[in-house]
Parts: sequence; structure tokens; C-alpha cells
Amino acid sequence: MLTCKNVAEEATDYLERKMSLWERIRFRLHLFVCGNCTLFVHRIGLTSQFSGKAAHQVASSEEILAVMSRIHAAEKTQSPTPDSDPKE
Amino acid sequence: MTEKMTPEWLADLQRQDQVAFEKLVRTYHRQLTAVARGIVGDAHAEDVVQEAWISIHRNLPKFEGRSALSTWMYAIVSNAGRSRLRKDSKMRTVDSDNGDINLYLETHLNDHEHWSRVLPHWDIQSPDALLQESQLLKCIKKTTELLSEQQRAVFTLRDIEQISLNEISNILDISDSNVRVLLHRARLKLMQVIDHYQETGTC
Repeated sequence: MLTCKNVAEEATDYLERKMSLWERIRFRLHLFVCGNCTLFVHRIGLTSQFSGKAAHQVASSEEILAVMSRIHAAEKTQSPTPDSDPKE
Repeated sequence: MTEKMTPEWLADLQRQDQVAFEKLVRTYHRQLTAVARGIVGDAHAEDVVQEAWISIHRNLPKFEGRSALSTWMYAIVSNAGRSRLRKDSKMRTVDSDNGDINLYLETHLNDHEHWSRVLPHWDIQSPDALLQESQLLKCIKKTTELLSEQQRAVFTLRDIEQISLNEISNILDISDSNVRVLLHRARLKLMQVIDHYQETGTC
């Protein structure tokens, strides 16, 4: 039988659907009988949704300028960076 | 939140339009840097991201759209980071930050591993309603900057950029289970910030 500690540790595994069928059934059975754990799992999910939107940051003008300057300098010297060239 | 890529924006990027590219840098630079930190640590992240932007700029005309542009860019950062790591294997960071989750469990659970008290009530229940709380937004931004480098990288890729766990595992070159552990630690820290805000109105 799962304890609340197990649920508190495994909530993200559950929300990300990274449990086997049996693990998922066991987890849901615990949530069925434990209001606090149900609330905890719901809040981890809410935190994920909210924080993902809240935490996005935009670069400053200085940061953008630094990137563009570096790109222009690289274009002038045409220095290759083969290790980071992407392969789709 | 992350500005969504549109076909028009992508077309401008592939024509190497400078305004479109500066918008891309503005939108993604901080997030790419957070991920680079998770791979090579703070000291070398800026260099890695600058190299990545050069590669992104050069290769945008060849981007075929088989993955999302963001995923492609993060893969470039990953390649640049791993290239740097090959030069210095001591650079690899390891997340040893398990303190907060243990402390949370100790203070909220009893000896029988069940909740010792009812969780406090949250007045604000939806993500959109939470987004209206400007003070809370500041708290969350500040807390994400205090996450460990690897936690912040995983949180950025999953909860900000909505990239799959498998892709994150590839980008950061860590196991799927490690990704989930790091993600859970980050989410738990942020949940505690929201908990505290709901109770006190402050960070």
C-alpha cells in the first residue's frame, strides 16, 4: 500500500504518465482515499502549468546586441563551428 | 510566456531577416542560457549559447521543420555544450540538491509517512488567475533563478517549452528517471512559493 510520502515523491511521475498500469492503479487507489494527496498532486500540476507561463523571460537589449555582434563578427571571419551544427 | 512561432515568422527567419532573428533571440536567449547552464555550468554557459546562436543563424535557411524550431535550437545548444564538455570533463555539473524535498517531507508528514496536517487552502485555483498576481510572478521568476542549474534546465525545457521528457533526456544527456527527479524537485520548490504566497501574500 502506498504511503503519502510515496505520493509526494512520485507525483510528477504520475502526472507525466511515467508509471506502469499497476503503479498507476495503486497511485489512484491512494488518491481515492486520501484528500490531502489528491490536493497535493493537483497543486503540483497547477504549479507546473502556472510556473511554466510565469517563468519565461525575454532577453535585454544588451543581451540581444551581444549576440548580434558575435554573429556579425563570426560572419566576417567565417569561423566554422562544426561540432554544434545541427543534424535534423 | 513563450511567443508562439508562426509560419510568417519562420519564413522571415529562414530569409535571415534581422528583425525576425532579433525577436528570436529576445524570446529564447534566457531559456537557452538556462539549459546551457544545466549542461556546462554557469561559468561557460554564455560562451556555449553564443556559439549556438552563430550556428542557429547560419543554419536557419536549412531548417526543414522535422521538429519544432525550439527543439532544434535546444539540440544545437546541447551539441555546443557537449563539445565544450569533451574539452573539459571536470566541467560536468551534478545535481546534489535534495535538501528541499526532504525538508518538505519532514515538516509535512508524520512518522507513519502520512500527512500530519491538512494542506492549507489556496484561494486562487487556476493558472490564469495566478498569472494576474504580479507579486507572485516576481516570486516565481526569482525562485526559478535560485533553482540548481540542472533543475532549472529541466524545468525550462518541460514546463516553459513543453518539450517531451525523452527529448529533454537527449538534450541534457541524462537518464529519463533523472529528468523526472529534477523536474519534481523544481516543481516542489515552486509549489512551496505559491503555498507561502497564498498564506501570506508575499514571497
